[in-house]
Amino acid sequence: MKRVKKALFYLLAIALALQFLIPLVWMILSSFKIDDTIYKDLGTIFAVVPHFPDLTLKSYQELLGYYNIFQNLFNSLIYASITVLAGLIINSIAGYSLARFHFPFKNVVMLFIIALMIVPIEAIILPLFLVVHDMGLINTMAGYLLPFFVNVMNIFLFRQNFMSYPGELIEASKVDGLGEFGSFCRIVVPSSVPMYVTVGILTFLASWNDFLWPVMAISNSGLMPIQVALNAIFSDTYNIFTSHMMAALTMVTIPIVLLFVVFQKYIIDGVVRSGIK
Amino acid sequence: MKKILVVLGCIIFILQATGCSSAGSGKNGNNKIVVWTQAAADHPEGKMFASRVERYNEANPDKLQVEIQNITRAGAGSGYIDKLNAAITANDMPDIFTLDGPDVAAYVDAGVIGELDSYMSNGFKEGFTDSIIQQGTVDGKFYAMGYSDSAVAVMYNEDMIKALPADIQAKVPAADEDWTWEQFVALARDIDTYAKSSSDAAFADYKLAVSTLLSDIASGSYETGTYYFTPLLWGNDSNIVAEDGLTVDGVLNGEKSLQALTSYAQLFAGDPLASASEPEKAFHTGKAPLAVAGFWYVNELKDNYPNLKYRTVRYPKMSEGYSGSYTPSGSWTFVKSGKITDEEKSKQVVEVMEWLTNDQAAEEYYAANGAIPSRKNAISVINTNTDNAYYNEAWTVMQYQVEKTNKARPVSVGYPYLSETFAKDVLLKIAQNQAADSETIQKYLDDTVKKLDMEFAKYKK
Repeated sequence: MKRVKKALFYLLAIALALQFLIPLVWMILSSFKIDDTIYKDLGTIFAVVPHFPDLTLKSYQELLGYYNIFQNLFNSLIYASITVLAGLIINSIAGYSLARFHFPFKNVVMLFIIALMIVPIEAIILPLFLVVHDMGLINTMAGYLLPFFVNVMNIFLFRQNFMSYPGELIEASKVDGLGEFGSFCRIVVPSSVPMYVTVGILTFLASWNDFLWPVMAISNSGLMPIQVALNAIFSDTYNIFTSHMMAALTMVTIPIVLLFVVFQKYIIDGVVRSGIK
Repeated sequence: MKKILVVLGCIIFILQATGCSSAGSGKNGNNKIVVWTQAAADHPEGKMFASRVERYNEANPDKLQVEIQNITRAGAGSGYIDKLNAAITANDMPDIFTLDGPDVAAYVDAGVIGELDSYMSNGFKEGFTDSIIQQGTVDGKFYAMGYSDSAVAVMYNEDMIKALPADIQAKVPAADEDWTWEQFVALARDIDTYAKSSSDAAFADYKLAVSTLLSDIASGSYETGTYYFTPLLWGNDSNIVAEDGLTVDGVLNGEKSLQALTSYAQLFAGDPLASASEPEKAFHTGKAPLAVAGFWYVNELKDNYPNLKYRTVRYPKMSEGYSGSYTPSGSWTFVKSGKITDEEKSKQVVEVMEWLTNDQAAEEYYAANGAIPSRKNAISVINTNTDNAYYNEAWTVMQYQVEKTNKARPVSVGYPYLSETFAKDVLLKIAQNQAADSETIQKYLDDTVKKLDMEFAKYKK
């Protein structure tokens, strides 16, 4: 009976995993086919199982001939890395303050942070543009990146994490001569790595997937991130190549998948610690 | 502490060091002319605009230099349009920018774009095709120079049609013949009946008789529906809105519109011939023998489906006796900022717009991108003498329609809402509910008119 239960559990787990994996496999395989074959294979086993005579690098060759994808990927990597680095520092300090210190209107600040979490970016994009424009930062890297260093969701996640941090450890470090900031940097941060990795990946993803703000804030095409190139390919009304779309999506997805594979242990740990499930 | 300060310092340094200088955004002033387009910079369309601008600057070193920014759009225009609207709000709009043809009237109404008649060279406007002039004209004034046109025809799968009995094959018109919507639906019905009872290999993948791209409406691309099927109303001497662009009562829900839409609904009556959720690329992959096909199909089929044998015939007319224009047309256009106060600059801005849309430009855009020329003199540049007979026939049909029967979509300040509501609440609803009787369709139309009237009340002075 136990074996049957186990077998059923694995079967269910495999079925669930396949449901998530099949679209990914279809995307990758389609990127190596011509459009005609993609749609002919749709609904057959060859949509998700490689049929090697049909596979070709044509779509990648054509795509890279049209678009400077590597430049866009590099730009995205730089933007996302800067945003992650700055975001982790700023948001974790804010989260720590809200978790550990007592100051006037702390609950009101927290209320605002929670309220802001439900406001979609589309609702604030115009005011944000006007503020950045009036600061003279439109079409500058600072104008593009600065508004997203602070993220209320990340502040909330850090706060949740630091709330459950044992206060005794911090007190002990103070007895040993560390100041408030020293305790934070040397005691709290090293033992909160999973949380930092989780927030870092969420921030990286948000920056990596952003399309609207880069288009609004930057005009120089050489500085555009990957999502802008991706949208250019998707909205092309003259050259409609599904294979190009799949090739571009594959190139965009691979770094993200790698990121998850490398850090998956920390992500799960971080999610558990933050209390967000 | 030190490490954190070093990291933050590095970030600030990178931001400053790599901060791109304002390359055209910011206050434009009078020292240059800034052009924004919705084409991606890396795309042939963006490259051809950039190339035209570069040559203009080289030829006119003593005049204001033109700076072009190609801003990527997503889907129907978001991204680019969001940026444009934000720039308008910030009073920092470009001197020249692109707009989709049907949206021009809304921007005119907002006072954002300026008229062109008084600055244009003699006879330049008349060089555009009639539908492009219609598209760019609001209240008798010309505002928008279309840089390309468009067309929609009917395509059929030659292998599938050849597999039909002779009497059904005989119902397919020649490429140079007019035909009616009723004949089109009758042909589709015959094909459907035959396909469902036949074991012929040509129909092995058969799923539906006509591909209509109505699934695009369901996924949010409303304009495709309006663009494809408003011509059915035009061909019955009706429209979705009156000439004033705001009156829908008695027009959209009038007798002639009802007649046209009841005919459209025959596609979905009984055993449906078309679907609001058709398979992706149904025509391209032999799942549908007929397709209402936009001009972009021609290059797509040539490049991606070289083995598909397809033929092209004219867009069907709703009423046989109708002699006016009725086929779909229009595309993106260049417009001039209405905020330019300097007369000299205005003149040069229009000169640049003419340079971007003249006969030579239209020919270049066709060569680079397969865009249908918007200039009468350039239409002949469409190559109908290649070694691909299917490609030649498709372009011959579309060329004919551009020259003879194309009509602009309605000029209305509320066009975006009008188009979305018509597509969603009438076209899509008929298809999804398989509503084929005129009472139900009349109810859909009356409900739509009520909705539109409420929205349009804000535009009526």
